[in-house]
Amino acid sequence: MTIRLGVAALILLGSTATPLLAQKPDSTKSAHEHMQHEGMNHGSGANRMPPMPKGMKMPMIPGMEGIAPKMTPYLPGGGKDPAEFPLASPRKLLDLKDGDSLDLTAGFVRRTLKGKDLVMYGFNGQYPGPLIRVRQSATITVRFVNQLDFPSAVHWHGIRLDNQFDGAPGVTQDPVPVGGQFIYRIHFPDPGIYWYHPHVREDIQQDLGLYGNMVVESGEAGYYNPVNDEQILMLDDLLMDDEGILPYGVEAANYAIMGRFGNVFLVNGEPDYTLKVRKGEVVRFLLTNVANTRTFNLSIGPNPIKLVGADISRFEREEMVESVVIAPAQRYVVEVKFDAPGTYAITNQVQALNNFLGEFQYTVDTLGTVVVGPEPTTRSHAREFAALRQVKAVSAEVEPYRRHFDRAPDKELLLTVNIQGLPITLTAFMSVDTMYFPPQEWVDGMRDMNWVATTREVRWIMRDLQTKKENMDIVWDFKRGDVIKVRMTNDPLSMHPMSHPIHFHGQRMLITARNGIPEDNLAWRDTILLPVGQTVDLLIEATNPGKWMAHCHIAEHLEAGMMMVFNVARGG
Amino acid sequence: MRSTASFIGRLRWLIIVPLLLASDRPDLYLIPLKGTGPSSRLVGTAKLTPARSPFGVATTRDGQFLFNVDVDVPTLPPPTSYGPTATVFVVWIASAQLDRIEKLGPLVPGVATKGRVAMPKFMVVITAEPDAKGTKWTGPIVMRGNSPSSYLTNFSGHTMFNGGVPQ
Ligand SMILES: [Cu+2]
Repeated sequence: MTIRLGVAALILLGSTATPLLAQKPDSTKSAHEHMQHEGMNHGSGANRMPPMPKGMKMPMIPGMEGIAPKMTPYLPGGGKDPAEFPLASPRKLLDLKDGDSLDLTAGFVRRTLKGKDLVMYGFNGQYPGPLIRVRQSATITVRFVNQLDFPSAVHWHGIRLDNQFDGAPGVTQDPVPVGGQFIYRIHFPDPGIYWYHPHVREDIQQDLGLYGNMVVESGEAGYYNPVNDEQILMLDDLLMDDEGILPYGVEAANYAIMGRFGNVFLVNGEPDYTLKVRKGEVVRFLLTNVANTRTFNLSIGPNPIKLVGADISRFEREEMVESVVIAPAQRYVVEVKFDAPGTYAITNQVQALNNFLGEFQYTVDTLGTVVVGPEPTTRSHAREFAALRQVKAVSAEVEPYRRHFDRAPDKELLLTVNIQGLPITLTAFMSVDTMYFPPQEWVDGMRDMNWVATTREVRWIMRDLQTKKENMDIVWDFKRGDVIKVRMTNDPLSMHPMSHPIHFHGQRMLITARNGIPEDNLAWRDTILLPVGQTVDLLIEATNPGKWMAHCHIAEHLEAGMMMVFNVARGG
Repeated sequence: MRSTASFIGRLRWLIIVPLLLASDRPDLYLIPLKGTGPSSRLVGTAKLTPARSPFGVATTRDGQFLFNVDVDVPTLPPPTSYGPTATVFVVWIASAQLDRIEKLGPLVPGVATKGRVAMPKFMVVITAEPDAKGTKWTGPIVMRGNSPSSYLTNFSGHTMFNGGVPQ
């Protein structure tokens, strides 16, 4: 069966469009306006083309000469000597009790990566931001101070907190201006691993280091299995060349098709993360993907991996996995057992698609190292590791929702893209490349096109199939206590389909089915990965009143408009 | 002169782009199977379903996508019509370079042959065999189809690089 794409005339119009016709994604307008009126207009650094992804060769596309993305390049520090900025330090653990407060300042820091002195951002001068540890049900107060050069705000990802403290400018608060502050009161109803990051120009602010974890400890004894060590890892990639970090765009985000894939891999902000363990030890890893767009396929040598938890809860049953596929903003809790002494790389192993050659290339990125010493552990947890627990508490919590699993969806979303106004040669090349798209793209296999494409030309879309409304024109109205079934389909027929991690703020949700096949091991989540051409059914539990965002968590897709709003009314 | 040339150059793209976009796109998860030679009128499908994964993307450790594959051919002539020793149809998955061949299993018309595939580009091949025990096919190819990923092409080989309009 083949599918005919009968929109030739439409595309012809699109591809002939000059910059005059290039549409600015209206839904991202406010963020851009904020940036401009707050004066983030000191472009610095030439608008350099990024290096090829590792191990990839492709010639420059004919006709690319003289083409550059239509945006003013931005790098932090305004060209000042990095030595003028304070040296960043590794994150510190902050144990906060119910009622405690914290000052959190976003500002400039100096970092050295790949031998380059760089100006980056940090919360409280740290990379990542302070690691906040609280007990379940605690409430803390955070005074956020913005000492960046453009507005910001802090979103507490996955935390079902009071709407007014969600940190989503334009929806729950005004952006915090340069020099301004905002008080957040954060209540932690669920145990697990969470993270905080700005919700303004994430493609810049988050990428430059503004992210931190929050660990919420359960009061329940044995909530997690006993292990020898626990490691809390934030996974990131930064795009650098010989001169330093590649510039961002002032008026529009660049890399707007596939997002900004980095080439320097960072674990907790470090390019050389190393963990030492003893033979036979079991380590629990709490993983958070904070990359702009990269989904990782992680493993640590051949060591067995047990999957325990997702964003907001544990899974109904533990299971062994070959690797961990983690998309931007998602969290997974896994345990790994290290039986044999040796040095094991923490790797991202993918079949990278080289769009120019039309070939998949096996690529291994190294994120860090685990060194397993010869001395055996003094306390073996091999028995608990071997047992795959059934977590009855999760099944019991899911049980009342099962009656909704088979019913028709209340809402249907189509994820797609509209690309207009790129140079005609690029449009031609992209259109040659529309015959096949993998379910998940792991690298930037079309560097030239992605680099040139900004959010002026690219509009990523969430389309409500019932109302035909798109992005911020969509406002769903629910009331507290509603259980909403949402079916999302990732359009395989757009100009460049990509998988999307879709995040719903303020609530928790279940995946009930993928491609019509019921999901058989549930966990509560806040961010769902939807591969190309596939369908997912979600059950959203609307318990937290307010006006909330839902959006793609690829930073550049969010900037390109891929966001919407839903209301949860307080109800009677 | 230069601007006239570039104008004509641009015009060429204006013709090529819509033609490319109007061309048939293969389904990402359904492989049409076509009969070969004397069996050219036979039709069937190999349906790809992403394998179950708690992550939503099923991959191997080295990043190969994992699909469940259901091969379905509604009608076939008797195997003996492909040679006196043929008794059974067998479904194979072969890598694009034919350096890896995996047996999916015997095929009965109207009943799906089910299996799993984890290869970047592959072919689904149905042959008529003396038995279903072999690890490589020996009999004639009755039907075949290419994975959707096989449609990935090398840009440099494309007619648009030679100034031509694609066929
Ligand atoms: Cu996206």
